[in-house]
Amino acid sequence: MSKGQAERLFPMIDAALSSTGQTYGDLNAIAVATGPGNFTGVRIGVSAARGLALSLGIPAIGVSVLEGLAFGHKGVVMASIDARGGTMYNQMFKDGKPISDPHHGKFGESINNTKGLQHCAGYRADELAATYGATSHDTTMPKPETYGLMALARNWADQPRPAPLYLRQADAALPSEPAPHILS
Amino acid sequence: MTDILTVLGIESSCDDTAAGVVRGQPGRVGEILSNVVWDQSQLHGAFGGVVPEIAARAHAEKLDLAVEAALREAGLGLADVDAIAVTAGPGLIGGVLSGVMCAKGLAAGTGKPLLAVNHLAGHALTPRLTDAVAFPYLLLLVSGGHCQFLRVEDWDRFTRLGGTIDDAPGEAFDKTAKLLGLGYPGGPLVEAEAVSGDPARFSLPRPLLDRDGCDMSFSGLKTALKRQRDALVTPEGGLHRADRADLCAGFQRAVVEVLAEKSRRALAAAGPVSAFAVAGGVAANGSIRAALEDIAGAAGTTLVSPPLKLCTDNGAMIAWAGLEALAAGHVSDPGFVARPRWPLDHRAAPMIGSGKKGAKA
Repeated sequence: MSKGQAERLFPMIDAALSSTGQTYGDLNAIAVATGPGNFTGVRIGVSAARGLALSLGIPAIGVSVLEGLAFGHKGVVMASIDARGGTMYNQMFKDGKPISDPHHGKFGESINNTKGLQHCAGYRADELAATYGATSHDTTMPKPETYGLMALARNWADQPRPAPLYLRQADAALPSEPAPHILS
Repeated sequence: MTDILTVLGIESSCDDTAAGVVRGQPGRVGEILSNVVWDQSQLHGAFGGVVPEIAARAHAEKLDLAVEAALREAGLGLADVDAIAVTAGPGLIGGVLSGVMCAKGLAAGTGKPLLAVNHLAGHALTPRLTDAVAFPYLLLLVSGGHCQFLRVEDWDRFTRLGGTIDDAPGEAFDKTAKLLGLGYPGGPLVEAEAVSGDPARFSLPRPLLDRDGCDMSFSGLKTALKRQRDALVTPEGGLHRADRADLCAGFQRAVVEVLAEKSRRALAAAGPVSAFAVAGGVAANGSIRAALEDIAGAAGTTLVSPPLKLCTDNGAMIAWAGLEALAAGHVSDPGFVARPRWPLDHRAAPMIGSGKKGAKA
């Protein structure tokens, strides 16, 4: 979904709750994917989750999409996400726990910590598995319930408020023309 | 007689993350229970203007905290407010979206009604919050992003009598400050520099002053200033402080004269009004304020200028605009969309951004 996320999010939450016979008041916490991904899309989710958490007096738990890709996999896993323009976000995990920092780089550039890689998950996982000799791959993105399960496994008491995981600087250019030299 | 209402307002359409709580009823001066404004100018300073992505990033991680602070300061819980009002446009869409999603979350969890407020209506109705000004009145909205004359006829009825066809004056002040190496935000810096300058030394244009009507233009003024600056810098290898002060004074004088003359015409065009009100950050400029006071006096009316904190972007004004809507029996559909472009006067011909996406404001 590239358009209409802001309009559709709450109707989807309402539908998810009513289809299970739950109401907002039944929630104990809210899990939200913090990216990396489309900046605006991530902010839509994070802002909604933070507002909802505040109104319900429950915690909002931010979970990374890269971690979501590795969730539930034993062994060494490479998670990858399309970052457009021939680039990707990626991170290495072992038994679901990160063993490298999330990274934004060109697709095809060499990746560290791939020793013992078993599984590739996410963007072009089939190609990455072939390149690094992984035994299995899966290109599907995490489902919302995965984020819920990830949040369940956390200690809610010490979670910071969810913040988008951008991995890229804001696109902004400093003034091209320097200010004039001021003479006294 | 309507009831006393309490409304939370959220604002994030530019570079201020803001939330406020107001209480009252239309027709009487409102009570501002809290008005939390966190400005981001430090984040944008190096760029000499607001960077949309940087603004959006800051809003997304601050809005709920601003709401909490506003409620705490007001001594209220969310359960105590009658509705949640939020700026739904026009503005930088990344920030507007964060505000709208946060507000939708607050409403979903509490079941409180939502009010999608036009940012410009927030500014336009502020004189009713601060001074209970009666409809209709003439408003000059003059800020970093906007410049227009509005005849305010009701909480949701505005007639635009004219406005800028390009830059807003606040933007021109910022660009002037940038061209002269003064820093950001430019308004107060240019004003301070102008104090010691000679406004008559450089001849800068008064764009559209020779044209009938209330439309304005400020981008040519900025270009003329740049040309004048370059003429000074080239032979000397830099700009003397005195020259800079004269440029600031000349620039400010030009803006003042254009706003004053166009205000005179707008007052004549508006017909009988209860007051001439000014809103927006540029209204903080002392010279502009003084000139507008004279114009109002000459037209037999008074200038209503809300305190600076309520002239610049803030949450209380959004709360008040929401309160006026709620008192009139209006509630927004919870599915409302954030709009980067949203003119207050739908009937008026677009002035800016008249492409296929429609008028900006």
